[in-house]
Amino acid sequence: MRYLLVFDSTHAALAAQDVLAHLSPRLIPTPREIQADCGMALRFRAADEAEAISLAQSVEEARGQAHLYADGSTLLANI
Amino acid sequence: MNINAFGKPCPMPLVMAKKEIDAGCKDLTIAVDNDTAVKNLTRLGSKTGLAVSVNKIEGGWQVNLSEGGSNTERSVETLAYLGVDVSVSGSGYAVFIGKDHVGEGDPALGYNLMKMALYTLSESDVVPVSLLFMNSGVKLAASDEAQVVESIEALIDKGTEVLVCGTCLDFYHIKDALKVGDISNMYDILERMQEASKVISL
Repeated sequence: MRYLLVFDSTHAALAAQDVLAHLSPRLIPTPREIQADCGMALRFRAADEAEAISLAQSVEEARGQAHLYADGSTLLANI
Repeated sequence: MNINAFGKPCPMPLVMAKKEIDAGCKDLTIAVDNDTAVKNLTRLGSKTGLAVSVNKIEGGWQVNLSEGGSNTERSVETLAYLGVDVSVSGSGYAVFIGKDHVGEGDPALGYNLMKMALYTLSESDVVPVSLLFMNSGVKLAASDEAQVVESIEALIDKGTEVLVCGTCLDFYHIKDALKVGDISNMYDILERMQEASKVISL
């Protein structure tokens, strides 16, 4: 399943890209339907929502600065 | 002269055909197994003033280039009839990429911006007719990063012609590492820019 991690800062986005590199994520512009302070978002695959949240939380720099969306613009969790 | 280019990945069929045409061949038939090659060969034909005819054969297409003038419009119909995807490939604009980053400033930011720009371009409805790489831009076409190669491949699937400067690839010693696009030269790259209704430089 595809998930989108949207960030409030570019630095969080780039840090997440490194931490989650083993997932071969895609760095894409934050979709216009989603309001965010940062124009970078990370699209990655995970087995389910729980795993996606766990992966997102594993990025220290993302804590308090990231929001997890399902493919589309449904907000699942704030990291 | 007959050439069998089945199994040969891009840009081989074009290279093989160009070689024969440059050597003076006026009647060349080349068999290819992918429609990107058909499109490229058709373009080559109209550029070199050769008549192009395409026939569907088992496993692919047979493209004949022979003396008789260009007939681009008929070629497009022929291609569509034969099942080659001829969806409009853009409003006639070219994108020139002369470096592997967007803007000047922080290198990491610049490189990531380029990744995102290529992605965004590949997702658009109206893709460029030509995507041209020179200097450090050619590194993108030889990239080990899946996202970069994927975006360029998506553009090719949508009809963009991707030209990568051979001289620059050679300079950076990455000619063998080319993952996507056709090896090209200053003449062709400049020509694409002149032909486009606008040129975007990233």
